[in-house]
Amino acid sequence: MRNLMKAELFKLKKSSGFKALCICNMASILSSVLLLIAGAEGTGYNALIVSLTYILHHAVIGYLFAAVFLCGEFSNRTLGMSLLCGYSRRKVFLSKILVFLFGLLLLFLIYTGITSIVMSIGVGIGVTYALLWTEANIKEGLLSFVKYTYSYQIGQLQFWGEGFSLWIFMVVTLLTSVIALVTSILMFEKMELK
Amino acid sequence: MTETIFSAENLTKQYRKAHTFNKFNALDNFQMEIHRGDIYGFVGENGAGKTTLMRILSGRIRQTSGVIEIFGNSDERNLCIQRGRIGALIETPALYPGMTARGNLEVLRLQRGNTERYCIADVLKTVGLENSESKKVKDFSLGMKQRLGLAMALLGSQEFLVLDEPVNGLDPEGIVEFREILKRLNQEQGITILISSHLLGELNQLATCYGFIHAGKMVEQITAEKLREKCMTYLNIRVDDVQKATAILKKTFPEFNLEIISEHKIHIYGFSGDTGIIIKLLVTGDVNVKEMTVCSAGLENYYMSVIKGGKL
Repeated sequence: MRNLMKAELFKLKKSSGFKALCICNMASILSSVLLLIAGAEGTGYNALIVSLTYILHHAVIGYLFAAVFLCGEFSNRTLGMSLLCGYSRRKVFLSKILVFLFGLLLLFLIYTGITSIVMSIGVGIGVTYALLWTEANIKEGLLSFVKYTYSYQIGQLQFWGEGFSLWIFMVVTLLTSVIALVTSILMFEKMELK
Repeated sequence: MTETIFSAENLTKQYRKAHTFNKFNALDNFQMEIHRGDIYGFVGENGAGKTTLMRILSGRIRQTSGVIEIFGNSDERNLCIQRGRIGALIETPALYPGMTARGNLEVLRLQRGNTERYCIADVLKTVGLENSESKKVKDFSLGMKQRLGLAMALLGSQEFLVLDEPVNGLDPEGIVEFREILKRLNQEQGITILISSHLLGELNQLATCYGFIHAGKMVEQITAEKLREKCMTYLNIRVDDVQKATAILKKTFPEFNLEIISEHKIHIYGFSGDTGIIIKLLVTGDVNVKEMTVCSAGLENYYMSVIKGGKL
């Protein structure tokens, strides 16, 4: 599995699609600078929180990344080569997913990092306590994340208070992710490769 | 007794026909055995099931029923591990078009956990791509891709090579080089090779045993030596009374390998003498000789006779 991960990381490093997406995300520096020039209100902290909640942007980047990094393996028929290295299909799939998630996190960090750094340079961080990892700050951060993202999806739905909504959000997200992962592993194990 | 590298027992693979619920058997109770050190020529018409077998062997698809054994292991967990000892080139090579030749090999080297970096340069040299290692694969010609595919199959000192029509797209020089590479690998390193090809003349110069597949079934497995015996030059004689002619020939030439083919036809295998003597002998014995020809049954003729179920 370690060898598979190494190979996947090598592919990620050499992937021109991944590099293109990194450049796309770096282009967010332009939008931030434009916002600053236009005299938009906000701080580095606000930019960090808001950029975290651009679900549509992250989703589109995620789909594109999946298309170039995962689907290419099927169209190039290269998955079959991994099976000839002495690994089970499950290991091949898991290593690919783990490196895919790592790449996605990198893309995510580039976008959020750049926007918040640019705004912090231009306007300042804004709230100093935001850097303190206290329970209250983490809860507040997560709650605002839920408010901006999850409630957007289901129309500002609140379940018996903010705290409970947060738990519901996390459990549903975790559950759907696990179901999606298990289903895709099972499908991949049965799949007929060319 | 030599070790069995791969065996298939009652192997069946069913596919569903497109747009219908009907199924057909790409492999039908298929039997096969490959021993260590063999160069196994796998021969059959298009759609006979050659590639299906190779895809099952390499783990890309699963059989509907039946058992396969690789290096003596047949359970799923061990099959996965044993597949690490196989190098394969099935149909067209599976490559990353955006990467260089070296990059493609590096991915495979990392996956196989091979720590020797120089092995990449070695295999590139073996297949004659040492000057194109930094070129992107999308700019490669078909023949170059095929060579790179072979390099990928060779990387990591694999013990068993599975090659599905590997010489497709190669120039005549490339075909000769390719043949020499395979021969050398087999003789010097003892690598077992399963190779399918429609170029029977090419297989004839390479294979040490053959498997003939037709409509998903193994029709015949035969060693190259036995095949040569069967394919040797023979005398085709058409006479009016085959029994009388056979009796005369057997009496005079007991060493002749005779076979009665039909009511009026006899074959004498391994014949290299004067045909005039045979004619004189038969005519003297009151046998009417209608036709006499010296024939040579090559692999092509043998293949046709096996597939059509007829005689040479």
